[in-house]
Amino acid sequence: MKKVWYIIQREYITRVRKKSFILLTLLLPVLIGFTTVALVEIATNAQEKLSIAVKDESGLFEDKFRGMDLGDNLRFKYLTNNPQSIDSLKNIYQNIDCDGILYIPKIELEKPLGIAYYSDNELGITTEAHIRKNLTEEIRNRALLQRNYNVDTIALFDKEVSIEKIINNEKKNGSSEVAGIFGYACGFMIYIFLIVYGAMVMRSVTEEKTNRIVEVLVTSVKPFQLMIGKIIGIGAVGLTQFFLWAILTFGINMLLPMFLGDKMLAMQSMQQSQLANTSESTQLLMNISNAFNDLAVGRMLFSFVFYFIFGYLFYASQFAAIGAAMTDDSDAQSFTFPVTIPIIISMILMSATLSQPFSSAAFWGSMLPFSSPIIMITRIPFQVPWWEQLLSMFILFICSMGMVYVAAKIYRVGILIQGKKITFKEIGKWIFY
Amino acid sequence: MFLLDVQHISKSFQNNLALQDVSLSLEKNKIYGLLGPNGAGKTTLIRNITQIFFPDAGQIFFNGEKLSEKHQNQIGYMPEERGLYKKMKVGEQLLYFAQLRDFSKAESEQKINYWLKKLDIESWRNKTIEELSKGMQQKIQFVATILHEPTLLILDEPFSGLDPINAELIKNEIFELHQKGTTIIFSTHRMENVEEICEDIFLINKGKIILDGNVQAIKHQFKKQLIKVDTNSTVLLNDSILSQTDITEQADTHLIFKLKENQKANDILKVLLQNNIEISGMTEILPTINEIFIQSVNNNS
Repeated sequence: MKKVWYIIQREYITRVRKKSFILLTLLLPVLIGFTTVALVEIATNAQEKLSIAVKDESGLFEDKFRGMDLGDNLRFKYLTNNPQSIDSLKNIYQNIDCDGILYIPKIELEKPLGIAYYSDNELGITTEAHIRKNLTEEIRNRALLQRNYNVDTIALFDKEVSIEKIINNEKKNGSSEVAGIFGYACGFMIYIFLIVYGAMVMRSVTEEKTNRIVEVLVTSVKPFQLMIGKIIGIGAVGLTQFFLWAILTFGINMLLPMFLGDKMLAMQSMQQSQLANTSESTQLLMNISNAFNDLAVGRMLFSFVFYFIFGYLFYASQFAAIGAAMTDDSDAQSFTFPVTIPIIISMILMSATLSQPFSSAAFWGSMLPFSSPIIMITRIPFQVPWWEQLLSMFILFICSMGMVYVAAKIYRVGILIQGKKITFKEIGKWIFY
Repeated sequence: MFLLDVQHISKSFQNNLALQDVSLSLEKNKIYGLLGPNGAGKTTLIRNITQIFFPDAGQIFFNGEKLSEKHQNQIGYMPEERGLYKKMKVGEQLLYFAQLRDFSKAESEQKINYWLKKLDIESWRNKTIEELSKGMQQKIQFVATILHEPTLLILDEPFSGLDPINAELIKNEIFELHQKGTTIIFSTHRMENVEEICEDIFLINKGKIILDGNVQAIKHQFKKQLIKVDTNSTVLLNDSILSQTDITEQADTHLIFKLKENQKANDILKVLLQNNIEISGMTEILPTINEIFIQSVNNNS
């Protein structure tokens, strides 16, 4: 046992101390932070400051334009009682300190044609959308009024319905979208972890084999100790990296308001004002927080760690066996293919699971050990029954232990074979040897 | 009692018989040479002793006990292909190997200090292996092999890649270990090293031991009854000499005779003295291990 511990230590320390590990672990959250800062900066600074003169010959929109300004960024100057025609105005709008002029001719409500914008510069997409939306709204209301409809009454029908979900006599407030996003994030993280760290185990085994350290090592430790120590050591490196990323990302996000100050608030308010109506955004926020309450953070965390560890054990031992069976790097492609295929299929099945978390494909996907670490973790936010989860965990546990056993058999023979190409048939023999 | 007693072991790999009924016994505190052409089964035999493999048939005893895991720390093995972690520092690497041999950290450090000082390579402690030259790496590998003071030391081509000075240094360390009571198995192709270092040899070919015993005894066993006589000047051979002896070679200052049946070196001397030939020296020509090696392997094939 003590020897396994030394092996774990060596695998862990030599990797964690590497410059590339430290850089990647520190840089990624910082990079995310910088990206956020950059996005906010761009969003706030790149916002064009526009002031638009409005020549409204129809006289319908005077009231509307008073409420249309967007802070300092977009101002409208409604020209009342200006006798000049648009033909002369369009040449002199700069004189009245404007960037462009919006011309609304006398229009019929049924056929609102001829609205034009004159300027030296293109009108931004969001600004154009803002103007179009407000004008359309005003025209619609006036058309309704003209036909003696009560606009307020009509607004009453402008409601969206929501569906309350009562699962097993328990009221759920969360939206399935939020659950889906959360499940996707967890599944994706496990997927990345399996691929990246599985490959790392494989490379490390091949390296020890090709530079013959293995021959020295196996005179003092058992091949099984060597393999399991390596798998655990590298897994611990992965966990450390994820843990640090989580903490650093969280920390940097907390610090961001300090650097950005009110710019961030400005952007948030801007985003909110751009949303169709505020009730929609508050609804979304409520959904998210409700969903998190429903998720049962404890269960999610426990499940994530469980599938993370045993999924890794299941795949890393396969990668270790492959690494031991390889005689040179060119073998890697043909050997890794059978192992990575189930992981990639799981990834595809994952999107199907998100839209139909209780389909039979999703069910079997979360039972088979090849896909359960990814599929089950995606389904758990959708309130999978406990018996399903426990069964899936049991199967994964047994299979990962079995896989470690089989891999150890391949490993102990493979690491000492040099030079000649090894076929799958031979590997099969080693397992039953 | 033998330190290592290998009894009738056989080992095959997928229809390929790597070892066939191999037996050998090693006494304590001796240096053995394990010789054989490539693919003869040397490495397989060593791997059976170091318990990397287990024989299909036969048994191995260590100090009278059946060889098992508990003997692993009494055996040190330096494979021909060197294995060290390139990115690890020398000190850390040695510590790792020592700890895997069940030494505590303090004990390990103490041993590492001793050996680094002894080989005058203390300044390398914080260098990574990839910063060292091939010969330097070799020295580290040697230290890693003997750090746990094994009673049986197996060295596979320990001098390959070493310059003469470092080879001499390692050779002296091997002799010193030998004096302290270590039994050494020395696997090599370099026959000059074998004559210089080994007391006994085992010659293995096609999975079988075809020759074994004391180096000098084997040389005598293979000798071709040749006598070399050194002379001060070129000898004028007369009928008397030619009729009584069998000369195989004549050079300016020496003659080589092949002894006839029942003829002794003294008889040759007598003939030469009778003919007033001035003699400055006489030696019996023994075959080199190299010649014996080639002859035995060829006969065996």
